[in-house]
Amino acid sequence: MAAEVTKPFDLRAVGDDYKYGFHDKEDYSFKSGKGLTAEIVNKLSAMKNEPEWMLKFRLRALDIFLKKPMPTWGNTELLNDIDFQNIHYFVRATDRQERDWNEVPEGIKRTFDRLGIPEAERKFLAGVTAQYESEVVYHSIREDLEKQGVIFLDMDTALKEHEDIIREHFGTIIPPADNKFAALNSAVWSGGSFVWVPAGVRVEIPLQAYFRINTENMGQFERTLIIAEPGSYVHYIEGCTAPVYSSDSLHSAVVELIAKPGAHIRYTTIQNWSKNVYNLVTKRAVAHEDARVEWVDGNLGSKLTMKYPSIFLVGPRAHGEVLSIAFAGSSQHQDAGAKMVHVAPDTTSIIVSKSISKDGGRASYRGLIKVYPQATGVKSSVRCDALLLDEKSRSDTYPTMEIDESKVTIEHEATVSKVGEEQLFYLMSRGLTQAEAITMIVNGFLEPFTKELPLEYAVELNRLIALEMEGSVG
Amino acid sequence: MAEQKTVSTATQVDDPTKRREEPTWMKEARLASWESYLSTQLPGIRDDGWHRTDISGLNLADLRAVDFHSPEASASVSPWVIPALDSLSSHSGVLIQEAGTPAYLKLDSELADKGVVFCDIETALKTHGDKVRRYLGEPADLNDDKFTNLIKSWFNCGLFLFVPPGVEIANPLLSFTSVNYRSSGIADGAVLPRLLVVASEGSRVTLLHSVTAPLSQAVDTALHAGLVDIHIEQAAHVSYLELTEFGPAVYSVTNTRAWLNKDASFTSLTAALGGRLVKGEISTYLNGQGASAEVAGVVLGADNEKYSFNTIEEHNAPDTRSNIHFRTALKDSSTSIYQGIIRVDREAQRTDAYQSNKNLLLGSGAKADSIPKLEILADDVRCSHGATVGPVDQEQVFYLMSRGLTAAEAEELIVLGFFTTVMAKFDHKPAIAWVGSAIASKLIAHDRDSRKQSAGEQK
Amino acid sequence: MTEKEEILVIKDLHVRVDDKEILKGVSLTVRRGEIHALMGRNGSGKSTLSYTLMGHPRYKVTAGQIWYKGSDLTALAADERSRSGIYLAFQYPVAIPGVSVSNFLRAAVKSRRGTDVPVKEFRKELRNRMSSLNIKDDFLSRYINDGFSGGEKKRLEILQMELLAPDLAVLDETDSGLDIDALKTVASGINSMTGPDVAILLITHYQRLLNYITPDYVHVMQDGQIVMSGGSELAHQLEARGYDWVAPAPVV
Repeated sequence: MAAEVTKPFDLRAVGDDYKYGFHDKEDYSFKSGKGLTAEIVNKLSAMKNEPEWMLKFRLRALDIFLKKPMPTWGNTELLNDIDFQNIHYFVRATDRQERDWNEVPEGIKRTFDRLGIPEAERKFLAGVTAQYESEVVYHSIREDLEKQGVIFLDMDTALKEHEDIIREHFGTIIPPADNKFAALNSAVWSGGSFVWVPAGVRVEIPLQAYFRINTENMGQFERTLIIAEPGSYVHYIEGCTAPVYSSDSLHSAVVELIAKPGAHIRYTTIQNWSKNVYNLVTKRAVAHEDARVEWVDGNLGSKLTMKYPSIFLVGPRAHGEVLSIAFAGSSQHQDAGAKMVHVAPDTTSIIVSKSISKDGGRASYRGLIKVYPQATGVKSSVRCDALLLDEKSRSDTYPTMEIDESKVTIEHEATVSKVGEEQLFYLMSRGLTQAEAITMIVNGFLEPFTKELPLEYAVELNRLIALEMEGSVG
Repeated sequence: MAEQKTVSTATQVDDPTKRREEPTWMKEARLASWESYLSTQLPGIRDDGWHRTDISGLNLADLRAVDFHSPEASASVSPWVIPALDSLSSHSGVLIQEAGTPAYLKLDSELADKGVVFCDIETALKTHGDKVRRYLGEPADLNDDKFTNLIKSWFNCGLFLFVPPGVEIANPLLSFTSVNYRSSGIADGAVLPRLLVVASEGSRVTLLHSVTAPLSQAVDTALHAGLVDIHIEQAAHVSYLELTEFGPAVYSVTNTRAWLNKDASFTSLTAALGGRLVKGEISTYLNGQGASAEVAGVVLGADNEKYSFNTIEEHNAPDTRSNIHFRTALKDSSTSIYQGIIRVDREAQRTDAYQSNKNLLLGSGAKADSIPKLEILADDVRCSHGATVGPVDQEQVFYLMSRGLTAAEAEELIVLGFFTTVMAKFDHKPAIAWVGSAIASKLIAHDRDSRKQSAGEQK
Repeated sequence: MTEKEEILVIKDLHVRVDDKEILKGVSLTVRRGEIHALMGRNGSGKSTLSYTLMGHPRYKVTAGQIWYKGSDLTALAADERSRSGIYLAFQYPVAIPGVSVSNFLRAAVKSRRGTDVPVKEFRKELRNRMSSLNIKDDFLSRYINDGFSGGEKKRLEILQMELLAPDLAVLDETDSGLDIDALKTVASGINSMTGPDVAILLITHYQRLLNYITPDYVHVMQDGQIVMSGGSELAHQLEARGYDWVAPAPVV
């Protein structure tokens, strides 16, 4: 969460006093015992004062989670290493403050340094401080949103204030039974965002989870729901380029998007979890008639990421796009991709995926294009490119196209290559070092992704890639 | 009349070695594979390589292995082979195997003198035991699936082709296998060919293999399951073409495997033109530096035919190259599933691999799945794949129609062209023309049938 | 002199492409033996008219009529139009991989002439025409327009036109992308086609093809209509004064 990347406000301008000013004491703290039981779910729900239906939802999901087997595909070796007994399923914010700055790995600290992350932020990102309030800045934005009738709250608050809307939509796009980790999230979710945009309203500035960040946003099991009413537009940005240190080994979010007729949702994610983290995320959108949904998804950190943003194109002429990058460094496996499910006629989709594997890292693209019978006039194109930077690394491409309708046009293309020697030679002949040249080529390779980011994120991402190329990121 | 043997039932397990005059080691290998067969399950639609390929309608227990055994060889060519022999008039040998009829075998004496072996598998076991034992006598492989085990234990036809070091055979060897269920009186028969090709160092050979089960059959279920093993030694070259044309009752499961040594090369063309469910797996193991493979496949589906093909390219050595081109055109409600994987091992630097799968959906009920996969563990590689699914390009149709061709003629020409570009990768021109005319006949016959049908419906 | 047959009569033709009206009331009469040049800016609707005449399914006639040899053309499919003697030389001929030029030409000639031409005779005819168009022999075994240069594509279009001997030839920007030698070859190919019974509609953006082929009539298209017609001198006036002289560029 670097200040440079978060115009319109600059934390350093707030003054030094602020550094000490955000210590928010909770009255009590709760830390669940290890292992997941109905008792924990009951307690969690009670503590949040949740309505009865949500508790039931959680308990049903818990049941599914306990019964569902682990996925038998993907990196099963790493998946089976997850010890569900050894995870705290709910930790109050105050508990996290107990971590000492000295415990934060040197690599992470050095990266903060190199990225020029302000000190207050570093501690937050490293999980040393729990709260990182930007109320002052957020306040004016919130007023603008309120005038437009936009709701933008953390999920826990939203459940209290807008129970009806949430009850109607929550878990409808990703039911708990979808997969083991969606079930887990449904049972123990905490935090995340709720966004509701009224019909016809265009939210001009991107909504950033950062505006109201606290520990629960960075939590293990966040839950986000975005509803764009007919003809509305919203761009939501999740995460940041700076590495987020977490001692929690398992992060499993669920994100549901609903784009009603003619609505347009763009969801941008840049995630850079520290390299001990399992990041197993379920993201899915439904696009109704003439709606448009775009996932812009950047995956840099974590030990294992499994994330396949999906779009169900259920209304005629709906359009879906997934634009993603994955950077797999040493002992990392980025298993990412996209799914497009064409249910209605004349729906269109585009997937562009870029991956880079380095220092023994493994990047896998896993995707699905599904066209249902009677979905005539569907057009879909998929492009996957992978760069391998050394002989220890690995790249996989696992696309699936299931086409059950004949009047469609589907295209898939993928390439795997190393940095072109001619390109390298050309740049080095102009005086760039090999490392600089490679970095430049890699940034060029990622350009279709970075150009879709808000400028400050793009700048930050390029800088981060440069650090990754030096191998100096913790 | 041919003798019938039970392939399998839980209650009535037969012995695959009975009534066979084979070396003991072969009998042992058959029995070992039979044991494995009995303990393996039929592949399901979620099993690797069987994505959405449902073979549960095939009841193996009801099948009987057709008997190809014949005490003497035939002196004459069966009439149904003559048109093919006409279009492939330059050839070095012919093997015809037909259930219930003596086999026909011819090999240029000049080649026989050089030590080339080309014969049916039964003869090979009798007279070339020393040459085939290495390959056929191997213990059962735990990775073998149900069908491979079935073939290894019950194979009832097939061939052995051995080319000695340095021998280059310019003209192709031809193999025709036919099951005319009606005339042989065999219902519910299983044809289980096992083909073994060994191309010694520096040799060159082309094998054209065709399997047909005539199209109008009053048979409930029949099975063709073939295992084709091709060993290509250093700097040797093998071209292999397989053409299958089955009627609507026939299930076909073929497993083709080629092992390539240093600087070896392999060219293959698989053409599938009919059957109830046609499943094929073509694996190429590039185990020696500098090995290269050109694998092409063409599938023309009609009616309710189902096709499912896998190609596997394993690059296990440096400087290896592979090109896969798999094309499918589907009329009516025919469906196709293509899965392809390129695996590049860490040692296989400077691999150059390409995989392309294109599907033309011609019929309104046609469906195509494509799963082109890459697993790349070396960095100095050029690997790519492309896949498309869609109808015939209407701009192409319009262009041809603007020159006076009818819509049907335009489509026929475009579909033939669609296949031609891929067949052109095969290095034997008369064979391409032979397959091309088989495709054209199916296209034209089918169009005529459907015109008749729609004319009938209008009445 | 008796008036020649009106081979093509277009009356108040309106055409839509993908819900967008491109032609907004075109009227044009072409008699046998005449050469008409249709000029205009890019996007004025010239190519739309050519595709409509050939019967491209994406181009929908919403109003007006097209009469060809005295009967209504609009209901005919492209192949029926071709067999009745209409020929379109495409601006961007499509590639059809796998289909050899020789197979294609034989099929096309057979459909136009209604009978199979003996191979030997056909080869001979082909070689004569190919050599006059500077087309190499290996052309025949190549796939239709696949990997062809711009000039090769245009020459194949002219070769087909000669073989199919149309009554009405529509040439859509046949001069575009050609160097001066190729332009001369193509122009002489077109000139060899002309005759008392053949009508030619030349669609072109520039005047340069008209240095080699003299049209009887020149029409200027603008925003889906013919806004000016005249004799061959009109082409020279356009060359000198630009399209703005006829009508200002549409405001986009």
